[in-house]
Amino acid sequence: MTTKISTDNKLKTGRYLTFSLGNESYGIPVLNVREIIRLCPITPVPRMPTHIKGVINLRGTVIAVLDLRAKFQLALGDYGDRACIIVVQLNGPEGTKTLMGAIVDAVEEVVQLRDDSIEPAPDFGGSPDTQYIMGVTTCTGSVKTLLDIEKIFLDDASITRALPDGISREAARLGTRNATASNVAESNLLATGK
Amino acid sequence: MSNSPSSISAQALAIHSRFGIELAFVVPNEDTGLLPINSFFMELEDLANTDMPELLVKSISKGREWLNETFEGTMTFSEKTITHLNEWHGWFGEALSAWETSKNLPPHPAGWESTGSTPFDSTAESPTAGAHNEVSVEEKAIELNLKEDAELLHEFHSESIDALQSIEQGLLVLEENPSDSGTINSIFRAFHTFKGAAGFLRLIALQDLAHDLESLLDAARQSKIKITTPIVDIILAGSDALKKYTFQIGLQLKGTNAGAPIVVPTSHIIQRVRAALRGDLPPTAPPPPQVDPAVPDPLAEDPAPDPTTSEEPKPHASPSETALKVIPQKRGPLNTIEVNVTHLMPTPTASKEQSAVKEQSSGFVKLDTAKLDALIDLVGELVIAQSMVVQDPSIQNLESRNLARSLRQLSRTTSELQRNAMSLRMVPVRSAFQKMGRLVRDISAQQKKQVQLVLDGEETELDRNIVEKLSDPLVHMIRNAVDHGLESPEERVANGKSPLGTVRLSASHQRGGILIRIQDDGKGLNAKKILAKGIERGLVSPTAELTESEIYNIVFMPGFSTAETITDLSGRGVGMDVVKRNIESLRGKVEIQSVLGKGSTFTILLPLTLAIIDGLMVGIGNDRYIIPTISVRESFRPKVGMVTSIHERGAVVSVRGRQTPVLRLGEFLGTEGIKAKNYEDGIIIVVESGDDMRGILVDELIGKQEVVIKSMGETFKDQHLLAGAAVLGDGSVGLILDVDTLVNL
Repeated sequence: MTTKISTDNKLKTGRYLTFSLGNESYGIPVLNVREIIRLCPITPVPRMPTHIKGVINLRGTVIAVLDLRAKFQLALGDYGDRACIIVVQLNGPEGTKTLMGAIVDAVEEVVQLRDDSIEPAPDFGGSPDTQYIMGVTTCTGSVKTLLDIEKIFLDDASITRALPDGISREAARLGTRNATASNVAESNLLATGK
Repeated sequence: MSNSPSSISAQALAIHSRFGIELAFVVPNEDTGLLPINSFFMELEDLANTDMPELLVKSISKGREWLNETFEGTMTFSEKTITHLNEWHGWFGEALSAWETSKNLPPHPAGWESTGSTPFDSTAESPTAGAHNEVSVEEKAIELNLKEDAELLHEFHSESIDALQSIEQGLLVLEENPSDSGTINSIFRAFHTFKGAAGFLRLIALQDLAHDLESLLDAARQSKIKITTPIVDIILAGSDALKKYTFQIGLQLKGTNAGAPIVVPTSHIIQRVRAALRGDLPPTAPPPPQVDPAVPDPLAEDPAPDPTTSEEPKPHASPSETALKVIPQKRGPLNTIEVNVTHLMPTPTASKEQSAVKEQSSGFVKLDTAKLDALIDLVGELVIAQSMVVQDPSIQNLESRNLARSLRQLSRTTSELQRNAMSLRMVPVRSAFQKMGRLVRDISAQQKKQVQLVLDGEETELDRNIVEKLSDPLVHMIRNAVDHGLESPEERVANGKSPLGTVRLSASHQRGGILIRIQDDGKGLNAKKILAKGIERGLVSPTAELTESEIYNIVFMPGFSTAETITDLSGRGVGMDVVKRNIESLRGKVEIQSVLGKGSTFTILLPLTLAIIDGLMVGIGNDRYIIPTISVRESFRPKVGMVTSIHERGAVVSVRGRQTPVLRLGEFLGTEGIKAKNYEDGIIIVVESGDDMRGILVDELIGKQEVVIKSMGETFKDQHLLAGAAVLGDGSVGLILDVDTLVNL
């Protein structure tokens, strides 16, 4: 059994875990879900994009946690009682496995979907961006957006750097990082004037 | 074995091209490249066992024959062997491409058939070879170099006992179920590994016997012969002979008869093996030849070990190891770790029978590293759960002296358990270092240089994975240091140096990592020549203006090392790109410092990955960070006026007479709720990286803590601000600052 979703045929019969973000409902393939844990204190990592919430200790392993609301540029707000972290496992190249967490407002249920019940992502003409959307489906009375979980996480897991165009991207990122680091350093020192 | 011919030929081609590179460095009367070439042949032999045209298989056997001649002879390449190898290399390349395109293979060049002068006739090398002449095999004695190889021999000894035991068990399975290909394969591999290890230690007799037994199993694997009881008998007899050798090695390692040659009669076994390979198995086993009376034969003639018949020389030496200690396992495909359990064994009794059995037990347990990792993580969880219980308010409100005592006991035990669990993964770098002694000795003897190797910090503990992967780059760099770095004694004297060159290999915890230094007092790198070579090879543009260290880094570029560089004295480029790649794969870095005429220093800085560090926990706002104590020089609460601003933008503080720049960490990291608005309200921690220092302003010092570094995973691979993360006592994650980055902003 492989958890890899083939790129050419994203829409697949299978079981999906559905969860809510705000008033919206989303789904991801159950095969990628390792476990669901209660929201726990997250250690913020400085100087990271806002959607990277920080790191947590998952029984001895340090894993990164994403804020899906921030990732999709939804309205940010406090997490409720039902908020939890879905831990997903991503399969990188050469059999590497990465665990990452995603904060969601509430986990709903596991549903069985068939190919023909999944429609491709609608085209909104640019906004919102549909690159992370695998398709939409209607089940148990509501429309759920099925997410391309690997794409969402691999974006941040930097596993994509193994791809051919990765090198230049890394170089670009490195360059900007250095630039921002020194700028910030300078402005901080500026601020220290006593 | 589902390898398709095309993948085999692709693998063979890859070996072939690496072979060519190594071959270019082979020089008559030197052993440069001998071990790599040996390993290439071993790889090819593995491939040959899959599905290769017979002509190719034969040619590999032929190459092995030349190599064995070299191993048994001077250990250096003769002109003839080099010619042969070059010829072989050319032919093999042609043959491979012919095979790939399904053309007819070219015939072997003339003269190949006539070189079979070793006792190892091609019959043994290739079961299908036509030559059937009976060769009389001499009984070869092995002599141990106890002084130089003690560590390796110990390891060999304990590994061999395990291997031979599993072979024996496998054979018994095989006798019941002769067609069990899985078992045949595992026995075959066990012999193969044994052969490799014996070859590395130059235990020729063991290597030869293991090789023959391997061939026999190989034939069985390819269904050329059938496993029958007589065959099993032969293999058992062979493994018993190997056991006897191993037993003798064990005795010598404990100091009995140290240095005496070890002879175990093996020729009758070898002859039986070869007969079996030809298919004319004698109906009964020939009478075993008489045993050399000088050698105690612990296992007698009976294949089943009967310890009571052994001449017990000494009771089991009392185990000197008291602590639970892990030594790395170097060879063998399994990802296992060996744990020394000597102290867990009952003390040896006076009974001869029992102590004889103990002589054969190695005191190590092989464990799957995954199990070990799981154990370590679970212990970490236990510690956290324990502290949660202890700190639970309802428990703290109970005023029971008994409970308090029990809780203290619990804390002590868990932290002791944690320390022990942590130490399981850590091994001293010693084993990797000591191998270098042998290397230096060999190269210096061969080059007629006088070299002393000074080892320092061998007890520095590293994650075993790192120690294992460190070995190859170290071999390369040490070899380069002796080969190219140090001058000949005459040249040294002429330059006013002592004729004795020094290579210093040291390890230490530094700069928040592990620092390994290879330092020689040779002639240093010649920047001009390197630059010229780099330009010539098109690695740098002729107009580029490079700093000295940039020039040194050219040697790490792929394509810098070529055949010519080794005749060029400036060349240090033998495989340096590989060295760099290896070290980078450990997420480490290499730096070169060099002074022309004085020597060079190669510095390898390895990350901590799983190392335990002492950390200084600091607080800024609501956040906590860990600074590796090793990089902290001092910390103090600045008084008014101690910090001076410069240009109103920067600030410096005087640390022991040196004006040191100060970084306001909270603002730099964008932390909220910073308390130390003024320097006087906070604490300045002075950290250093190399020669540079920087003061870091934080709100408060929280404490010192030993933490286990955890990788932060792929997500944070590109950031350099954090060296890693650690799970703190309360189960939350603490971030470890990368001091190098902070200092070199």
